[in-house]
Amino acid sequence: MLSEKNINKILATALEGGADFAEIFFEDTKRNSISLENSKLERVKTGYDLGVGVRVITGDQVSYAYTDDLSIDSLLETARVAGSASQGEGGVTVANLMKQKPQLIHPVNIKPTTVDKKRKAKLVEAANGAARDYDENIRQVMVSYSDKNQRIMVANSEGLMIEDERTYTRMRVHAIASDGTQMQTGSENPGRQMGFELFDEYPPEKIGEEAARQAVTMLEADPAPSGKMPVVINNGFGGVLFHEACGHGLEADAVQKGASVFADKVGEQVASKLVTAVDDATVRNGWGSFGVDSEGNQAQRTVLIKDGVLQDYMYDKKSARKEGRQSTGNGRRNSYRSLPIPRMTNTFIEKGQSTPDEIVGAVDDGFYAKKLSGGQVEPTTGEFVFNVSEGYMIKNGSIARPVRGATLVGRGIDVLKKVSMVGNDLELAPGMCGKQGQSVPAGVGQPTLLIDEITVGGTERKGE
Amino acid sequence: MSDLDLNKWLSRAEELGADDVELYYQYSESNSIKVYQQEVDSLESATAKGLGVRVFVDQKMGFAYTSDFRDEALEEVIKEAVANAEVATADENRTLPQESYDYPELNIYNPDFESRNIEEKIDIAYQMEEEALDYDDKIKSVVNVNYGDSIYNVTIANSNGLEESYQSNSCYAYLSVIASEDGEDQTGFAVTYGRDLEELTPEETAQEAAQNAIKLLGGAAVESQSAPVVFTPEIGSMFMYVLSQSLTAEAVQKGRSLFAGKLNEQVAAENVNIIDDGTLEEGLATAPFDSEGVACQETEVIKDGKLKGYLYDTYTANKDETKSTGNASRGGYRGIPGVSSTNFYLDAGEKDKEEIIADIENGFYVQKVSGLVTGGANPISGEFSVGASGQWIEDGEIKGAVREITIAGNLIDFLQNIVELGNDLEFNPAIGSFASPTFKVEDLAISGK
Repeated sequence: MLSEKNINKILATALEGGADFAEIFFEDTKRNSISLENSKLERVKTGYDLGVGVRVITGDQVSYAYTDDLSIDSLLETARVAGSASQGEGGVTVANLMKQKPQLIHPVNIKPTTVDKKRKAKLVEAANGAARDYDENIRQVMVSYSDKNQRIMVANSEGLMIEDERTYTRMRVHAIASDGTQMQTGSENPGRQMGFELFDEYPPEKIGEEAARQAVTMLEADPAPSGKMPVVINNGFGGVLFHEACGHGLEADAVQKGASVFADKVGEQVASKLVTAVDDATVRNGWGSFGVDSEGNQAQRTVLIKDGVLQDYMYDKKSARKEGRQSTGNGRRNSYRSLPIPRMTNTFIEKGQSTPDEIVGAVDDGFYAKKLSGGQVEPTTGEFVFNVSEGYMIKNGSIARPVRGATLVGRGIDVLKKVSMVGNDLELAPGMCGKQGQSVPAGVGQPTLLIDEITVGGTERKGE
Repeated sequence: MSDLDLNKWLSRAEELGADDVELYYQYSESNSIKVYQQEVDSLESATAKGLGVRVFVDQKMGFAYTSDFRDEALEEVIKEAVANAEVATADENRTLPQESYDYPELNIYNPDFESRNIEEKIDIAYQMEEEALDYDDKIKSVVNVNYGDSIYNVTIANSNGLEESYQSNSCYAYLSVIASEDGEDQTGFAVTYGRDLEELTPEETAQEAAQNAIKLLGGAAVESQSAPVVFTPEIGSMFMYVLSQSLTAEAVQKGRSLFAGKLNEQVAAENVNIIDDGTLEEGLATAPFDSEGVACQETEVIKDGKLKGYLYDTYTANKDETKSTGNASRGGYRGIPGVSSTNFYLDAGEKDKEEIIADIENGFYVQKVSGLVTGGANPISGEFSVGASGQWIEDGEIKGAVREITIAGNLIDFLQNIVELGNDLEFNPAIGSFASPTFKVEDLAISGK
């Protein structure tokens, strides 16, 4: 880490051009990963990322420079580069640094760095074995284990100085099944901000079996039909739809540029009365949680939509300054190589009253999206296309035959208004969220939801 | 170029237990500028360096990287790489490249670029924003205008005696705009790139983004049907991206390619030629050698519709007892080499795009797709289903915008139904280095109303 004396020097140098604000972000990260394919441990990798980024803000303008050379000369030069691009009126000096601590610690019982590589490899092999043993039609299994320990320090010219440590552990299994004529895939990817104890909750064998089950199930599926119909979206990773199609439109940078359908709608009914949605970095051991954000703000919970009424957006420092308000603690960054931007942490729809059985039971003729995979959204309009990796038809209130190749197409804000039942089975799931080339861990989630109507795009051809 | 004594660290890795070692050193200088409403919104600049260490111990491979070049850090990263190798599964095909190569002379670095100053770069972004806003009253806002550039240097050294370097540079600018009419918003995107600022076309690119947004306004859904579909180079190149992933030997050997077992079969219409060319100077994925030091080359993947070969790195080539095609790639010093395409394209035909459209009685001209490169196509089964918008063609003429439909099918049927190829080959740098001309697919499932 850097000494207080050097931090002061670097901040003062960054302010020499006359900027309003200067900040140092220090990062020391170690990550490990082990990947298996063809039952071979192929890629075993360790990475060290150590560096410092200096950010300077003047008015609405931000400049940023970073270096991976931690000598004081290099750090001062980095501060000069950032500061020289930001010409302001001056007069701002570095306040006395006050060391603070995160109010919330996400406990880590078994630090992954203390676990032997061979033990990690064994878990990977166990997941592979379980997936392969699940069914003879399983032809290929890919497993990856990863852990990451990220220590950060943020110090700024307002006198803030705070450290945080984040530990992530995750396993991903991708299974491919084939019956000789076609192939289908399944995947299961649990991850939390915790240590090796993740596997007490998610035994690798179970992860492998679940991925295999999805792939084998979809082998028996018919092509999905096309058309508008009621859709039930399963809990957990189903929340990725809300994240992508609504969440990004609730990030303050998009709102301020008018690039969001939610702009100027605070206080308005933007969703069905059943919908309450929050962004919550305080979820204990949540995948998208932290102690402090990448600008040094304490983790917080922000209600975005309450009973269908839009309450607030997600802010980082820059977007908050623009409106003369406080950040909501959503300033996040990929690493010291990137500027912080407003990002979701764990963003989810709150649980409701209905049981999942009641929800499916309410549908005569519709579609059940049990598992979504990737998707794409036009951020400005919230128009989305999501791929359903495990889908079923619903007939007369019960789940019927599996169907494959379905996509869900629509607009986020329309879908929110069409939510007609909300389950009592809220669950969170991990994802990696990409924005402006930066990828950060983000938790998504929801209870089981009934949407009265979404367009399902399928590959079934009429008359075939 | 490197300020590290690579030979010293090669020897040290051997002392620490590696049978073979490869060091991949990368140094880069980059700038990124965003403007908003004729003000600089953010300006980022960076100098970065890093070292990727790949070791082989008893035919097992281990990898580690670091950006920390202090002696004790380098010592630790090498030890980690060796410890990682010890965990991996032994595989006789895991080797360094064994041959020596003649590397092509490539013009991929423009020294003039070094003298370009930051004001000139900011100006490009300003011009783009202004031009887009002035283009039409329907342009409501310019959401993003970004300029970026990088100069980078790569050195590979290995224990077989290789030590080679190259330097390359590129610059690019892109924007996305919103067009608005009767309460409906549509976005449009366009990008320009080159190796010097004068190769960038800020005005034309801004106009293109504006047109891309405006032409989608007023779109309606159409009835579900099967119809011919015309692809723009931008969208066609996205399909090339998807296909490229199934055409690597890695995907084939691991049973995750729809092209597995189809060598020398007719997998596409006879007029279809798909080429990977790592030596194409106008491409963005061009270099004298790949990420393992193997010379880059031109590879005909599909010729006259027949599958001629796959893309190889050293490992996959060893496995198939063939030669690497110079397609080892890694995401910078932090990545383990894998196989991927370089500049990958569907070769042009002879028709003007207007002729292709004029021949269609009833069909769809797709100008925007969503979900394709994020999992909308299954590289194994070949099934794809993507959201699309564009124009409807009737009696050879463009009738009006179409939106909220999906197009779906299978990639092999798609390739076999390419019936017309345009003469307007164009690279799409937004997703890597992929290109296609305008082309027509005879019959695809469209689901709409």
